[in-house]
Amino acid sequence: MPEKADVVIIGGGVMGCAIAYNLAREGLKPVVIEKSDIGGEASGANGGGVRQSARNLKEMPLAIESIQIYGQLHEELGMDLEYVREGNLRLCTSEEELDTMRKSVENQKAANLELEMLDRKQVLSINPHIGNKVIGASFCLTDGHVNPFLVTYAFFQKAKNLGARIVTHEEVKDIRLQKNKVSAVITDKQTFETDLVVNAAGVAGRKVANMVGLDLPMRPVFSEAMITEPYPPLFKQMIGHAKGLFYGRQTVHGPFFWGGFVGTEQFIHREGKPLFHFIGPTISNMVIDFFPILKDVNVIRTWSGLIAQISDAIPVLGYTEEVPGFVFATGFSGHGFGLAPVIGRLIGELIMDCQTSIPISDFCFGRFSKGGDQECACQGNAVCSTVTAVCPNKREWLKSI
Amino acid sequence: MQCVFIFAQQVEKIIAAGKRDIEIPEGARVSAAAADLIKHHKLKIKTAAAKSATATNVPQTETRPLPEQPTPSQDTQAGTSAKTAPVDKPTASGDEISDEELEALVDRVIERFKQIKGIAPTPSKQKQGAVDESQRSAADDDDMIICRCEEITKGEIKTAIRNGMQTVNGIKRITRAGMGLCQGQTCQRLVIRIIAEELRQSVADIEPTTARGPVRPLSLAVFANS
Repeated sequence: MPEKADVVIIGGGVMGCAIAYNLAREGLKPVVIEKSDIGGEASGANGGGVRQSARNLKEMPLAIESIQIYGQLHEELGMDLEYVREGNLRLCTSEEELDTMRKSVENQKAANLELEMLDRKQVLSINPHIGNKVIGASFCLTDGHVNPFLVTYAFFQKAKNLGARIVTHEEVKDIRLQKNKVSAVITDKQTFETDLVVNAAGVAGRKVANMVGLDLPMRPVFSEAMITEPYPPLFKQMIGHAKGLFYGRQTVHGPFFWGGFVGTEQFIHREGKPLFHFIGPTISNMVIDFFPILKDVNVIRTWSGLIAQISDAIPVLGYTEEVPGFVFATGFSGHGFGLAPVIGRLIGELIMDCQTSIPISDFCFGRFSKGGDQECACQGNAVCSTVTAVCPNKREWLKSI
Repeated sequence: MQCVFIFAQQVEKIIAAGKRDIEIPEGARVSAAAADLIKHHKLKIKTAAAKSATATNVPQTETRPLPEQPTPSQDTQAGTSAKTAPVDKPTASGDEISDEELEALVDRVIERFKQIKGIAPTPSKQKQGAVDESQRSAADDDDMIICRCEEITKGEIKTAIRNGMQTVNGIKRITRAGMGLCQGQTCQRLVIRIIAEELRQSVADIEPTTARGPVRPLSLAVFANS
């Protein structure tokens, strides 16, 4: 006898847990299915940056709201999340980078983000340890960083306490459709009958979409990072590179986190979680270039993870006309962690009330319907979200039972 | 590793008890966090032996054997070999332990010894009636330090397992056990053992943490040129 579930969320990363928390808070009993441990993929391998600056402008309203939520998230979830809101420096080393950055800053200001351009002197007044190469930077004071493992864990715990069921070490094998609507989720151990499935599978999001006959222009992009031994507190800002070549922070425990890219990552993916001999040294070189003071600090571990990269580098969110009952929340393209609380809230609203407080129409699946990336075909996500046949409107349903 | 360890928890207990001095046996190794606490609360340091060994100048990396001093912790080490968990049981000095505690400690060592030798059934195979007994003794060592680098106790690891983490990687992310300087080279086997006990699985079925370089800490300058 298959079990019945109000909603099945595929993927127990930070997104899946945040969505489960928001649904459980409203009285639903979601089931989260995770193939390894909670936060086993990208949520367990990422840098923990919580930033608004240097985002795609379409994401900006979400990012700004997300920072608001992060400010009080530790109280909401009842756990210290090691959240530090001390700004984000995006460092420029050439006039060319500075020009691009200036234009980008103007655009971001137009999208209601408060940030400014700094010259070298101003940068040094914020972070005196930056090396000679840097000639300027953008600075967004409200950006920061957080411990990604604890955020995922806190959402997971809170969701569980509110009645969500979290099934770990179980892999979704198939999604059964009936009259083209979602009817059941089949794992390697059991079957859940449900009319609503959330695809929060991150890098496996394409595979899950394939199960209902849809495809995403997504590919895994390899990413490598390292952590050093603890060091006395040096700076609190999140650090980024104008071209996104490297990024990092000092965690509250003292070690420095550094991640970076060599440029070929999207072509070198292979099974497992390998390390490539040329990436670690490249990141180290950049770190020493930008922070000479750290040259003798020991690296204690390097690791890798996979980014769920969408062709236009923004996520896919919300319902789709093609398969009623199938909700996308995947493809965050390497910058989703900072959005997690707001995505959890919005997908929660979408499932409960068939509408969201911040429009998510820019992220609909319909934008790929003609092959390439384009503006979403559905008006304000209307077709995708509010048609009753597509959206089960769980709040009404809860009242009826 | 014939050594007595002083951990921050013990120092905290002393501070909580309102004492203003701390007794440290000669040759004892004081954790960095404990040394900070001692400095911060300006505790007076008394050394058990005549020679001076203060909290601040005992280097953490140096291993000095203890003089022949039959402390209970040494008994524990001798009885169980480096493989078993009670090795890390922190004891500040031999004088502070009561007779009953000593007896309980010896009992536990003997029990463990029998389990290892296969004389007595392991707790995981015991029936319901005996589980209470094993839980009681298990609760006693919840404050045992498992991860020395990050000072993570057995209790914290057990809580993480009971909250749903079933892998070494998962436990590491939540508790920080294995995230320190040695990257779990000391504690990983102990963590696997605790998972095995909690989940009633065989140690062989539990996957170790993902193997990652560098094997030893490597400075950024050296790594950059490798």
